[in-house]
Amino acid sequence: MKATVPACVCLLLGSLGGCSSVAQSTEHITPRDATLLATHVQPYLDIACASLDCHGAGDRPLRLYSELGRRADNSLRTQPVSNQHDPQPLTAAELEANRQAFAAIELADSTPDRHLALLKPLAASAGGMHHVGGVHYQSKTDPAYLCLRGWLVGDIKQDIGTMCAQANAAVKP
Amino acid sequence: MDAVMRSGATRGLLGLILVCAASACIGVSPEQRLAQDLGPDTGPYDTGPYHRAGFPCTNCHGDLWWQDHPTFELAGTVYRTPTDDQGQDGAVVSIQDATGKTITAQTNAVGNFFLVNGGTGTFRGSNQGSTVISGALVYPLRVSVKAGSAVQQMRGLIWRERSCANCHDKRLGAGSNGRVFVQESSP
Repeated sequence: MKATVPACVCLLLGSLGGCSSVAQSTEHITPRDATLLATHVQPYLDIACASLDCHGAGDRPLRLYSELGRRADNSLRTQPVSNQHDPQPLTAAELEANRQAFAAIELADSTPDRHLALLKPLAASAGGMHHVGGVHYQSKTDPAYLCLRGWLVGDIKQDIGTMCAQANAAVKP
Repeated sequence: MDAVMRSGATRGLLGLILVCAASACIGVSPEQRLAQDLGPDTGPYDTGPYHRAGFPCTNCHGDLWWQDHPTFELAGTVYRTPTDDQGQDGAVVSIQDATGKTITAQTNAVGNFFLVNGGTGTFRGSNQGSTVISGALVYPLRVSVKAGSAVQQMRGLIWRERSCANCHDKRLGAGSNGRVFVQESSP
């Protein structure tokens, strides 16, 4: 009977340990995961990449849809976005088109760091290449770089979340 | 004699080809085409700070198109409401560039404002819409507009565009958020 108490304590500690391991999840996502695009990556793309004067322009390579930029159809913007009126959320079809746009510029050798969406906005000093839209990642440890890279290659979900949140905070007006 | 005539004809033909080639080179440039595509100005002002309100100013007043001076760092038209055709007089446009430099411009009677980088030029009187700045803007830009107690903060950033109207076309739709305005609707 006396042995029951330590056993209960042991079980309790075991459960807490279980909770702790959930908090430090190492769950990997599949590359270009559709859900993570919508929840974590797209908010960064909305502000940093997909404006109408950049990748929201109709004739731009890697054309992207966004709530504030280009929509797939006129019916998706029936009133101007303002302080009082939020934009309509992106449709599943628009998000899928964005996902496919990234897939389309993946290089044949599929080396993760050689994806054009990582190379072009990266500073030349860090191994990047020319980007008309300027440098967005100063180094390969930039949260925006890690956010996008993690999503493209299928990294640890929790790490991507943290990086994307930092990237979003840095560009939000 | 025949040989002389043939030689003269050949030279003439070569001359014609050269003239055609030269005129092709002198044809309309992409920048000229962009400016021409704006079509005629429907407003009452031929030139000056009040003309072409609502048009993309830097299609002509840009560094790629040298015929219309001055050239603008940033320019646009602010309207009172999204559906109002009358520009907002005296609206304050606040622009913060990537270095943190903040510039405040004021719209003129038709709602136009334009930033001119240094130099000398016309339209520098008060309430003419012109704001002289020193040094180029460093993108991206954060922008807000204010008139009286009404304020609108742009939710996105401007990454490269110099004319508001190239993104804020009056035709609201998939490729435009409509005009730049300060009030949600008419009071």
